[in-house]
Amino acid sequence: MSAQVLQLAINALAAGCIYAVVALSVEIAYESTGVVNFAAGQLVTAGALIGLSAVAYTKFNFLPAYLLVIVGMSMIGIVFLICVYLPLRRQSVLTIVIGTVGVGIFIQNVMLLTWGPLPKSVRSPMGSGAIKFGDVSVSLHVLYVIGVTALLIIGMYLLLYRSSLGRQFRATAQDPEAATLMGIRVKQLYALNWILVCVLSGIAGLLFAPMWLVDVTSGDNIGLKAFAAIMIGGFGSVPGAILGGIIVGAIEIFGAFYVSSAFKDALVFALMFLFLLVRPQGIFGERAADRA
Amino acid sequence: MRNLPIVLLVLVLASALVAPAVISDFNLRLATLALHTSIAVIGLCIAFGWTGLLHLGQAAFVGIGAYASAILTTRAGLGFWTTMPIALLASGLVALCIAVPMLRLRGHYLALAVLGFNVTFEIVARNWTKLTGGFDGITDIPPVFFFGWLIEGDKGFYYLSLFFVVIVALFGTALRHSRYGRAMIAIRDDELAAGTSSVDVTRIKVLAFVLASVLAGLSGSLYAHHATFIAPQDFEFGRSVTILVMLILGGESSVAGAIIGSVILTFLPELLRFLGDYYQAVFGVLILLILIVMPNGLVGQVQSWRARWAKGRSNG
Amino acid sequence: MAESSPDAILQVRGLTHRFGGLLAVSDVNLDIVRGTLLALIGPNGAGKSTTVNLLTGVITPTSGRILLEGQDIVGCSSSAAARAGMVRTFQNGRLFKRLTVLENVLTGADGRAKTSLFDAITRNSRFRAEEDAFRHSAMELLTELKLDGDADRQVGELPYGKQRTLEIARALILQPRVLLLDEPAAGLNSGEVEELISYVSLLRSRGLSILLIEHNMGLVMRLADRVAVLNFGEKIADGTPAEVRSNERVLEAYLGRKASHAAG
Repeated sequence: MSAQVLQLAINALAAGCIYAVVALSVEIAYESTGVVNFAAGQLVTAGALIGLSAVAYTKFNFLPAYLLVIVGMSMIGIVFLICVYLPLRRQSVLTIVIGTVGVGIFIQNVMLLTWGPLPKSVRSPMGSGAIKFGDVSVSLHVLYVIGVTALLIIGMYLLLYRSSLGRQFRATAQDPEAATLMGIRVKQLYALNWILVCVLSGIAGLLFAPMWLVDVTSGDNIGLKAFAAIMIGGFGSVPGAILGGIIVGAIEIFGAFYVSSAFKDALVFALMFLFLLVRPQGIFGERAADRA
Repeated sequence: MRNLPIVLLVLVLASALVAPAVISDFNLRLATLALHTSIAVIGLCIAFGWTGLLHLGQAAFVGIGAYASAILTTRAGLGFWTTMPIALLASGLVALCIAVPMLRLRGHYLALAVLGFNVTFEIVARNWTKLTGGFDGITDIPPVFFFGWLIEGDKGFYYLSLFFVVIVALFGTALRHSRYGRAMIAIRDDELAAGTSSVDVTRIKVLAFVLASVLAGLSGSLYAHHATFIAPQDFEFGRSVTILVMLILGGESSVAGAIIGSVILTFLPELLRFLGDYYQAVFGVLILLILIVMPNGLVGQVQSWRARWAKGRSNG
Repeated sequence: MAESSPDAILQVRGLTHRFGGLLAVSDVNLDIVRGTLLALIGPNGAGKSTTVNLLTGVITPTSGRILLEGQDIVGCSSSAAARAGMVRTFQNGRLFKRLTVLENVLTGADGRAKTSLFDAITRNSRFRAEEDAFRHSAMELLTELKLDGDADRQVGELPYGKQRTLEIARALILQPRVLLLDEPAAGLNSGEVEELISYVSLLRSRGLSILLIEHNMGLVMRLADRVAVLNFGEKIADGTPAEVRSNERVLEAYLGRKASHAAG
């Protein structure tokens, strides 16, 4: 493998990791509530911009700044639960999905009012250093993105599949009423669910911000690609969301280099449509035609 | 009381006819915009309101109609009455091509797929510069001639749009009260039972999606000739959301609601001008409020009040 | 298996459905003689609902043949099966909430409609003639079922018993060859059950062939010409009500637990 291809592959993996984290967030919301969260992209931007301000506020003490971001995103999660999910819970899923679109518009415009329209550059906790492996130079931030994503995936796996909390999540997702009868505190679980969804998106925002410039619309594109990642990987599958994210990252980076940088996003959606045509359940997912 | 809807309808039509003489040029322009937008909203009423297809890409089909009309008039020198049918056909054909694979899928898959289509449309419109003019769009789209009579200015275009809205509203009403309309609503209410009641579910879904897109194409063609200038951002995903909110605000399964919703939402930014930069944030909250407070929209709300009133009267 | 008499309107042969690793329905054979009523009974989870879904094209069987008037309808969509004459009602009443009572019935006429979209939009004479004919037969059905007074009401305003009746009307307008009634008596009070029994007898006396899926053994014994019994997805007995009542495997598997019920 030539150095150039290797260089591209590492960048693709880093981009893919970010899509994977957002896809994971969308997937968790979907599995536990059946709702496709159309506000995911705006939550990513929120994470990035809150991070920007928090880092400035703590005078580049990244750890407390990032804790502030997690607290902030959790609060957004709770507001989301109280103002959107609980009031709309008894209505059709379509209604809730449209509700998340409204939330996205709201969050985006509050950010526009708070941070203004200009793009901003964000520093990485890893600085701007890079390591050289022969001809390949890898920035520390990229390694950090890959590392954090790996930790998040392991953490989510343990939480969702190896803890009693995960079992309660799945029981509630299948039948909230039965879960209530079994003594599961459904409302607290919903709260935890939306906090998790928002925090994961927010972390994706912290990860992507130092790689590209951030403005109030940067998350939109990331959210859309996370949806494409889920369609490719398969709705209802956590491994699918992760693999889908990495595939989308690869198409974007290699497509921009070898095909056309203007049409790189169109390539992602073309692959998504191809999957819908040939394998609508995605790589690992549920059977697309069966679930309403 | 029984004749109330008809009386209302006549009143509304009459005031629509005299409106241009009364309102300012600026409001006339907005009213014209509201009218041809409402054609796309009626289309969405068919696809989403009746058939339940969560269609988050209606703006892309408006765009196909607008670009088809704009390109053919500016490049090939054709007139509106030739390009408009071609625009409808183009939107309908694209819809047909993507409908068949997509409509096997349900709910959120369709929503995401159509959203993906909308975004892809934007990318193509921005980057296929030779055909679409790229970011700059297409300018100097010629006005409409009607039997040699130039439909110039907003007044003429207002009546042209009103004419098409009336035709489309009649079309929608006839559709609703035919077996096609019944079958569409049956599918949204209970797809399984619709199938076992002999409704050809896939065919009706494809029909609803294609009809929605044909109407979007008409709306786009009118838009292009009215604005005389189009650019990719006129047809982005956010516009699809606005079209959907117009429908939900008016009442998602009502043709009248579609028109009411598009009129209100076209004028709302002006009415709420004092909000300034806050308008968009308020718009987001508005969506949530409609969903929570009156999920059946204005028309649904009025209907339920009427039903309650009638009940109260018959009991008392 | 012996081929059955030419008089059979429905012949089901080797119907099998595998669900994951589980055999939900296994090698089931059923025959309905023209103009008779076959009752399909069995304990909960015996595969009755799956069988109805298989027969009406809601799900496609893993293997087997479903011959309606000698024509195999396996692989048909549910709407094609309905058009072919295999028409069902649902156990848990699935009506169209946003349509009126009359419109619900008219939806069932969709499969018989010949007019095009163009006819419908222009409301030409072809369309109006067809619509009038459908409305007429729908009103006839509603009158027969004592629902004519409710024709323009929303479905949600109807009491439960009337909703169940309406489902039968929606099925009948399709002019079924075989009518599948999935637990039509569930949730009805005893007066309503009596009305149901006399209406179903009336339909049969008019020559309609019926498959009745039912829990209520009293109803089954009074209406059925033949009874087939499912247990764990297999058919364990098939015969006249009297034969089935005394069949040992049935007593053991099914009636054993509900002997008192059956005797009463």
